[in-house]
Amino acid sequence: MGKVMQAFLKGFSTVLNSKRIWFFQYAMNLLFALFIAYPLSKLLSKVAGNSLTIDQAIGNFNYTIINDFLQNYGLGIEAIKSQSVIVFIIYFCLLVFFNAGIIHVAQRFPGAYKFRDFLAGGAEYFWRFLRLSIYFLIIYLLLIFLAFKIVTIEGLSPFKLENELGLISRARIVIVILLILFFILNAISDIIKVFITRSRDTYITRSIVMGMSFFKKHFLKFVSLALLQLGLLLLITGSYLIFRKFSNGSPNWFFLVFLIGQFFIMFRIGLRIWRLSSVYQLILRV
Amino acid sequence: MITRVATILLFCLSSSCLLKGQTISPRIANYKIQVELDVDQKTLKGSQKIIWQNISTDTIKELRFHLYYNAFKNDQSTFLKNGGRDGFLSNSEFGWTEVFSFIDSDDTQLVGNSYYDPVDDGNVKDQTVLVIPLASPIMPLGLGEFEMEWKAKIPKIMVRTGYNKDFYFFAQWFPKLGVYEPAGMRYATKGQWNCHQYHSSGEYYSDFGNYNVSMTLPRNFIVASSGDLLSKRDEGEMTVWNFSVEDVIDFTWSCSPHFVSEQRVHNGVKLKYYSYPYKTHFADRYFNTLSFTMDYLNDHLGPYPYPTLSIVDAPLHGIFCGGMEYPTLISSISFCFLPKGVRVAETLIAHEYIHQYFMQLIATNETEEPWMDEGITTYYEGRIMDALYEGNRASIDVLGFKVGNAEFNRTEFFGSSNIKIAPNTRKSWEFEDGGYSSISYNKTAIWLKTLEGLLGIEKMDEIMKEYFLRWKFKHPCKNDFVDIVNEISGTDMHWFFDQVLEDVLVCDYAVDYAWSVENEETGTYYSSVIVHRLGEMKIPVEVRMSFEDGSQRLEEWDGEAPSFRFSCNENSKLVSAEIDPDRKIYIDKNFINNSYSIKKSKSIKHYFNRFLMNTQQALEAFNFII
Repeated sequence: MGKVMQAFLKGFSTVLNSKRIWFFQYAMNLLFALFIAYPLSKLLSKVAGNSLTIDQAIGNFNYTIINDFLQNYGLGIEAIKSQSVIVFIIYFCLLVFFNAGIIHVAQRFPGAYKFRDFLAGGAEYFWRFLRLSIYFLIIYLLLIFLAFKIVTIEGLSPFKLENELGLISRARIVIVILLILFFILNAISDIIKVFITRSRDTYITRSIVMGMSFFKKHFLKFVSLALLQLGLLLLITGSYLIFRKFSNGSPNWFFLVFLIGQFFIMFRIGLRIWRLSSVYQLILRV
Repeated sequence: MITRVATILLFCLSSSCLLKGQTISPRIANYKIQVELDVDQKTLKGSQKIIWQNISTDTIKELRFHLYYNAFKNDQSTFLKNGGRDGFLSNSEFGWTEVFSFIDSDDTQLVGNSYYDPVDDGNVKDQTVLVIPLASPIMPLGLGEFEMEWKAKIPKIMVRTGYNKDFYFFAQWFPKLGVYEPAGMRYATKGQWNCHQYHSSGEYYSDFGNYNVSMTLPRNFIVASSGDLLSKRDEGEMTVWNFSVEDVIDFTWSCSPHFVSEQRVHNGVKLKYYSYPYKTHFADRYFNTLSFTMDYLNDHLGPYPYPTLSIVDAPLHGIFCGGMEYPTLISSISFCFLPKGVRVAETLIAHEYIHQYFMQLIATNETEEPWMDEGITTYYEGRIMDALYEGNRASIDVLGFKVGNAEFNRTEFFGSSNIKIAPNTRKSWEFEDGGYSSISYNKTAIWLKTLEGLLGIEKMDEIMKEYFLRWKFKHPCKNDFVDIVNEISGTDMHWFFDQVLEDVLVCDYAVDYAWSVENEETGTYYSSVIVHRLGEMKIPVEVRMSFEDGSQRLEEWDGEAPSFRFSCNENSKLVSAEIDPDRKIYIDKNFINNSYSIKKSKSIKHYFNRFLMNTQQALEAFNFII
């Protein structure tokens, strides 16, 4: 447990040592979000900016106004939706690049690094990380498909089912198993990423095998580390959601809501750096 | 004639006094039915005595019966051809009814001359209307008495009726008489039978009468039924259940060996809930909603006149029988996997109970004028559910997502693919290209709410109460409803009905622009508001101008011209203008353009903030899979 804690704390030191990377990623997140939020806000301002309904709907979820907006001005939304798909795909690739860069830089800790090292790392491992991400994406999708098949093993047709209780209990069990599997796969994926950066091999198969056997060998340690990270994420997310609930709709809270929201995003980005760095640190220690 | 009357009286007595009791309805079509359920063969074997009262001055030479089960006889029936459900039933799952004996009071066998009449579409493969020419016509104001033997193959549940596994739901299960409409009744210019084929959209139309029904079925089965249980006796492996109900237009029952039941009494009415053991926890939800709905309608329309009401909460494999209304028996749908805040069960039970008034007590022709039952019911559903769950959360209230009932129905209509697909007056089977639900249910509910807005809720309640009192136990049509609106409101509302009922016009009023200019000499402000009529519908509307000092000015506009300008000189600067500020015109398709604030809303930045943060979170969510 000591090694896990050491790795966890060292990971945090890496985050503090990577403020530029952290801020850069936050800036990119903000920029990409603006590509979607700004046109959406512009559209809202154009069609409803002078409407009194916009104020009536601010505090609560207003089904009537949302539907009137979608039904009467839906064409504008369609255009933004298409743009959003492109933004999300690009950001996905960018995240792959960032992760590669983070691990590359984490390997230099506690030594000094230059921002261009981060970019160089991202560029060097990008394609391998992208392949890895796609492989895992496929695995996640296969698991979801399999889970769906298990849940609906008796079919979905109400004609054939005796009642819905079997469906519900299977769904509950399968969702729990699925979440555990996703959690484990996520932890394995992080280890593999480190192994990719330590290998000269263009193919990632070897790194995948090594990463998996390494995880198996040190199962408890890596699961403990991942649980620490997950616990932290849940704690902060919970606090943020409670804050949002209380501040929802109040115009006086606008700047505070904005600031806290941005801090939360920064925290999530920082946690990603923390996660990858601490996994690297733990690999060094076991 | 005297002998005939005497015979009839004797028949009545020998038929367990089918016409006994205090008469609150005309009791035209009366049935005494004995039916045996064969659970292995999935058949019903029935015999029924029918006493039919000719209330017209016409001589009746034929009778017309609905054989609804023949809609499932083959895939060429009008029901299956137009329902878009080819191949839904396999050969062994089809259903049918065959009448093999029909004897009049002179013991004349009439079934030999009977024939099927596809009155609506001429489809010779459709056998849902059986015509039986009479050997002895029924004289004006006379009674006809008949004995009928029939057999039915129960269809597998596809819609509303049938069996699945060991759950049975018997709706439209016996040969049922059409309605004879003498000249002057509804739209009839001469005496005629109103007995339509069974269509995939649209429902039923029947006369009032008394029912005495005995069902013989395996001993382990439990029966939920219209009316009250008179007796139950075991005969070998079988049990005979005998139910009776008076002054209703139909009789429905359901059975299953798994039924569990719970009873409560509300306002002297015995409420009987039948469900499967795994969903008995829905009982409280049903009873609470039902009690509220019963009280509401009792206060606003009049009392429910029957001693019982059965609620069947069908199991999952029987859900296609759920969400239906029959006299003194309603069926619902509930799903264990839905959160409590998704109020499907409550909405359905309220809706189906309201049908006890608009379908059963006011027995409109559901086939020809579906808006009169479904639309008015949906309107009351909105009123009742939104009153029970205040704050626009009657339909959904889950994790901050709140949807009211009336607003849900409004969105259903405006979200449909073509809001101009048909006028409300379209007959149910003419909705061949869709729109039955959005027009008959949702649009009607919306324009009724608009009528409520125009006349005021007190006047609307007065209208509906009078409509109920005057037309209960009768068969009103559109004109009867419109006449009462005109009479009680004291104004000719044809201009309104011509637009909402007879036409397919869209209503959309908007405030296009508003401004205020200061007159430096006088210190007053010259303010103007331009309003537009963007739709074809013309309805008088109010326009409210609000000023900086908090004062308001309410203007009225007849809503006729494509645009109109209101101008005024006030001591204060105009802040905003709103058309129809009290949302009386619920049929307006866009509420967003109903108002104009001279200064842009400050809320935009809040929305921007929300959009931005939610997008940031969504982008970062990729992190979970990379």
